Amino acid sequence: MEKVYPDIHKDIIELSRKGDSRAQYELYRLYSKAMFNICFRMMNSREEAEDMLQEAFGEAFTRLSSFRYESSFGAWLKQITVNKCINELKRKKANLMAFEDMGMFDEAVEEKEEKDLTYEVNKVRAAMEKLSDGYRVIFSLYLLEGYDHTEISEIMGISESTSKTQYLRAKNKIREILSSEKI
Amino acid sequence: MEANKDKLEKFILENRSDFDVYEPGDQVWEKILLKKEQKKIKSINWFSISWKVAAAVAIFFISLWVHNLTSEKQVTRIIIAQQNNEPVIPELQEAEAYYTKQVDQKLQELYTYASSNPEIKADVKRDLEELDNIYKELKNDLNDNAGNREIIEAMIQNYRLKLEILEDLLSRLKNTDNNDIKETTSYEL
Repeated sequence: MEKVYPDIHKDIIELSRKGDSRAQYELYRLYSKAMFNICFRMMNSREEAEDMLQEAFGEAFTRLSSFRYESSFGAWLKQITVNKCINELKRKKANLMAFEDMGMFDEAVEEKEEKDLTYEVNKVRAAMEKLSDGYRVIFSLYLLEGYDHTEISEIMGISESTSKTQYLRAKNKIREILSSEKI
Repeated sequence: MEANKDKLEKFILENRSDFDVYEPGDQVWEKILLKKEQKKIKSINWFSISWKVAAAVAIFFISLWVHNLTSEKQVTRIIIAQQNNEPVIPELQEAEAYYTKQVDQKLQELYTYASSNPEIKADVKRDLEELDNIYKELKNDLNDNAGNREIIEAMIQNYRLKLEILEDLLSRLKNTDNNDIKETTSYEL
């Protein structure tokens, strides 16, 4: 039994499917900001994030005919967007592989106890932007985009344990940046 | 997500929407539109333009049919002409074609020479018109007397006369022109 999501934007989606430019703009208006911020967190550059956003929506509109409401439109679009970014990072040979050889230290990663850090959105965001590509992507995918480690391992082509380890390392790194640096 | 979230995780999840601070530039949508148009041009949807293709093919065949019809008409006209005993004389047709061209050429030449002399123009016009009237009469005679050699000769002679008049006039005009030039040069000396 397939779960079917009665999307609240079904009318717009159906019109967009037929190539209606106004409906497509409406979808863009609804989803572009959320998708752009995903792109920004993944690419860590406005210019590249805009390129990815453009490609993601372009592909979404051409592939819309194959959208079957098996997930929400937002989740479907997010999948396309994330894949675009991952492919671009791989193409750029970004430092996504660095964490692969750290798998052996899986057990060694410990959660560092939080001191009396008070968090602020701007500071946390700035700390995330200072992470290496591999850390930042996993941290974003897990905590902000809401993927679990199984999904992340599939998206990134890594093992689940690597995803978990890297996530813990990324989290420690952020705490480290926040406590040591005056952001 | 695991139940035991730490302080950082809780903070981010509670303030999740505040993390989406960036807005894409306006040019992104424009680029999406542009790409879409380019794709449209690249992948011509043959199905959607099939009626246009069909129309083009139809027009082609219709024009072919009309062309055949009109050329058939020409053939039938000649047949009708022969049935009506209208003279279809190849000799005369050839002569007509040749002399009409010659006369036209000379006339053009004459007009350029006599551009400053409207009187000559008028005279020539009157002479040619007179010959044209004679030609028409001859043609009527020929219809009554199909294939009469004398009439055909007379018709061709009519053309020759036209040409002679024009050639004569032209040579005279050219001579006076040359004289004029000679005279002016002698004045200068």
